[in-house]
Amino acid sequence: MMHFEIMLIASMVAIACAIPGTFLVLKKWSLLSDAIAHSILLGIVLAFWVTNQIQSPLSMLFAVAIGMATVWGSESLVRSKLIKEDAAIGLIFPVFFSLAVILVFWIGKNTHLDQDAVLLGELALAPLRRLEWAGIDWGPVSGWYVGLVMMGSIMMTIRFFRPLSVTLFDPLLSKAVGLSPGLGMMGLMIMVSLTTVVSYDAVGSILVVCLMVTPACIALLVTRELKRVLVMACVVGVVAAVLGYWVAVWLDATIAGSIAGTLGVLFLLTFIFSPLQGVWSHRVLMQQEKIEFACKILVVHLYSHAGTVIENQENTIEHMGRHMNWDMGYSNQVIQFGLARGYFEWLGDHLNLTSLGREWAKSAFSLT
Amino acid sequence: MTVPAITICDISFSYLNKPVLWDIDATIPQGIMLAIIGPNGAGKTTLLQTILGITPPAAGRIDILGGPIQNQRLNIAYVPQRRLIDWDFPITVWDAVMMGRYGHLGWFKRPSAHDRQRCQEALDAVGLREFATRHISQLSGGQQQRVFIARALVQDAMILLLDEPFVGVDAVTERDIISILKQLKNQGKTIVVVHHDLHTLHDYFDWALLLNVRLINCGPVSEVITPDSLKTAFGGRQAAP
Amino acid sequence: MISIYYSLALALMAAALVGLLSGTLGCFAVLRRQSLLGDAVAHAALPGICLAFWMTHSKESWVLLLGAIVAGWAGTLLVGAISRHSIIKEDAALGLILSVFFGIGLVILTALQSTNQTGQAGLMTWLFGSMAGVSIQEIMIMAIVTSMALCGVMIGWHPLVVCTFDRFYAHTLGINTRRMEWMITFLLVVAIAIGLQLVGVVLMSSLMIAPAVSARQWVNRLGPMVMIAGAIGMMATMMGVMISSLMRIPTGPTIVLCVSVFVMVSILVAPHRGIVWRLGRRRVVLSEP
Repeated sequence: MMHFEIMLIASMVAIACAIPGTFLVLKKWSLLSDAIAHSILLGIVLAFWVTNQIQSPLSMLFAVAIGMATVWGSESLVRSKLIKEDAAIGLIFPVFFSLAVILVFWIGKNTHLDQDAVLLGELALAPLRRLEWAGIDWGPVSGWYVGLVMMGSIMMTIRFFRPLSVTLFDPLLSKAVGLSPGLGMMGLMIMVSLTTVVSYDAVGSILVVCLMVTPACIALLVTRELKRVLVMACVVGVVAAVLGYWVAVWLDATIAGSIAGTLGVLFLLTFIFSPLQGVWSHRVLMQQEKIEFACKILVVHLYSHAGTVIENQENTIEHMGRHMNWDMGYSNQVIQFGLARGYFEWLGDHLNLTSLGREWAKSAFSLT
Repeated sequence: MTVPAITICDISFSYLNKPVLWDIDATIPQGIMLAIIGPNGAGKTTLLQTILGITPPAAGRIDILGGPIQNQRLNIAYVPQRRLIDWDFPITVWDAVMMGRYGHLGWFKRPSAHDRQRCQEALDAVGLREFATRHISQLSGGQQQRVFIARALVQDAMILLLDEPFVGVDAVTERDIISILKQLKNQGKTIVVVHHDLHTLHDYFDWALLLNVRLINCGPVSEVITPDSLKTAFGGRQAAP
Repeated sequence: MISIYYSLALALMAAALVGLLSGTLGCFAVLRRQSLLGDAVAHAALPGICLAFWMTHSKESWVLLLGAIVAGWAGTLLVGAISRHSIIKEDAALGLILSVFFGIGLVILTALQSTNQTGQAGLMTWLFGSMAGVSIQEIMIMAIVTSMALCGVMIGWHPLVVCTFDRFYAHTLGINTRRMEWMITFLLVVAIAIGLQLVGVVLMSSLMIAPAVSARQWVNRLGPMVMIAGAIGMMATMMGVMISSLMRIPTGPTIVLCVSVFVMVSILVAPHRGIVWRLGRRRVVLSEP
């Protein structure tokens, strides 16, 4: 039962993170997840000071406030024209985080706020804190918090999908229809802050970043359509959560770290083997495109010199290699490609365009 | 017969499998002012970058003063587009101009009196003597352009390549820059400019290279700039052979 | 009694060296818009440190340092490879490598803990830094590395400046820009690795960024900026160590807060750029008849 509860919480965290994470990655704001994940600790600690609970409505409130403060602070610094974007982000969150760590140290001396748990979360302990109401055990508290935020994110994204995409990805259009572009960003930051704070207790700050960025990256290597990316990121997150949990059990190590490691492995596999974007197929594709383009150049060259006096000289393989500045090996590859496609043929020791080749050369000029 | 300044042989360049430059063949003699003209996306900046050896072409090769660019680095000077420069970078006008001497200095040497004198002369030539200690962001658009021309001047190169130097500068600066470039031409240097303004072609330049992915023509301005050739270049479709 | 002062003195010396190196090299990271690369490298170093310990069972500084450098360097290479060979942009690649490497590091860390290997307890201090346990040998290593790095910067100053300002222009001057890029990145990785023991993995990046940003507000030229950044780095880190020792609070966060004070002051009151300074000037101008 405990296994199941932990996996359930982990999966819900994965889904809750994947949704805002996809938007962050597409907007090139991935590192804001890192910044907010660190800053939010201050909100959690302050709330803990007041309520003596790590997770509470107050902590969610503080978290959103500090999340917004982080973003607002970075933007103000950039607007002052004194500091660039990347440096601005890297200045604000360490301050919040340092204040938080020092507070944890002070407060933690008398209570059970553990300095290490701050980073790692303690997913294994999550099932121990249970929600009891009206005499019934409703399950782990974190589960409810995470579940609520997750459902909220899903519903908000579905309900406001169009306004969200427009304000985030098409500022001109959004102004035209009367939606302020800043709304999308604000909504996204609130989602990120809430998701981070409810996931903190379970998985710690680093896994939140990992779960926001990595599943989206994996999905983007496979598909480009936004809705499919969102769904796939959620699926990948859940798979990694479950696999990662069992790895953690096997190694007797931190669950959060194991899920992160699993995501890393999944990413590596996708990166190498994805049919669309994987390095392997990408390389093969690029090579082929390069050779095809080179062949095009060759064919056009043959076409332009056809029927001129220097034709016989120009069309030998050595001359061409020298002229194009290709080495012998590359020239051979290009010629083999063209011969296989039937664009030209050998006549003695020089190449001659076929009629297919002539057509291809002519069509090459009607590209846009 | 002097060796040509720049010899372009069958240069082709693609990006994402679309041709940006195709089968460009041109010979640019020394001692002229040449404008590279063409519509947006015609490959003008790419051609410049290929000449400078910044981006390797898919095919073809370029000779600078008869040899490959690697051997001719000291003989070719580059003035980039103004919008690409980081104006907040902590350097003064003097520092920026002195950068041009680093090709001669290499790793270990400190700037000598001769280097400092060249910088001073270059600043005088562009009329920025009093601004030497100013930070580069504290200049007007025209003054900023002059700084990077001065930087090219101190390189003592035979060939200067400028990428859209007249964008966003005032009329006075434009006149001044042209007069400096003409003086350099009279000293025997070769000036190649990516230019955007057809109206000033005849006044400023001797030669033109008309480009729209393919080379349309390269030669004296009066020969190259004809109504037909302009239609081919700017007519909205790529040139056929 | 004497030993407390002795270890404090050692910690201060280490602080000075770390602050000097980070402040100086951080200028180049910031000017190249690679501020957050430091964050990624620092986080990526964790598994390297843990693995180095696991393989050698030694907590010798230079062993762990080497592990940090190798892992940090691997992280940088991977970030480059991902952003070059796929549609994934550099910021996402940084976030990915940062969190995945760090997560793996935590796995190794906790796995080591649960197998009860003696002596691994100290590894936790790499997360937030600690001034305890700095030895003379470590200071020697730091001093050698710092002086070599600074010498490198001085010798290669010209190409370094041009490459940082405009890579394409540097290429046209004949400078081997690829080699320069490798060198700069390598120096950054080393600078970060050196500081990890004192400041910790999580907060090291701040020490690379903050002194440079502060120094930039005061001067307009690169040479003075690098020197001032080095000085600020040194002062802030030493201050942080002092305060952390006096108040018995974690070292890393204290250093970060000290250096952030410098940033705040610089942004507000530096002549010509400072916000308060500019407001003050405007008021003077407006009040003139």
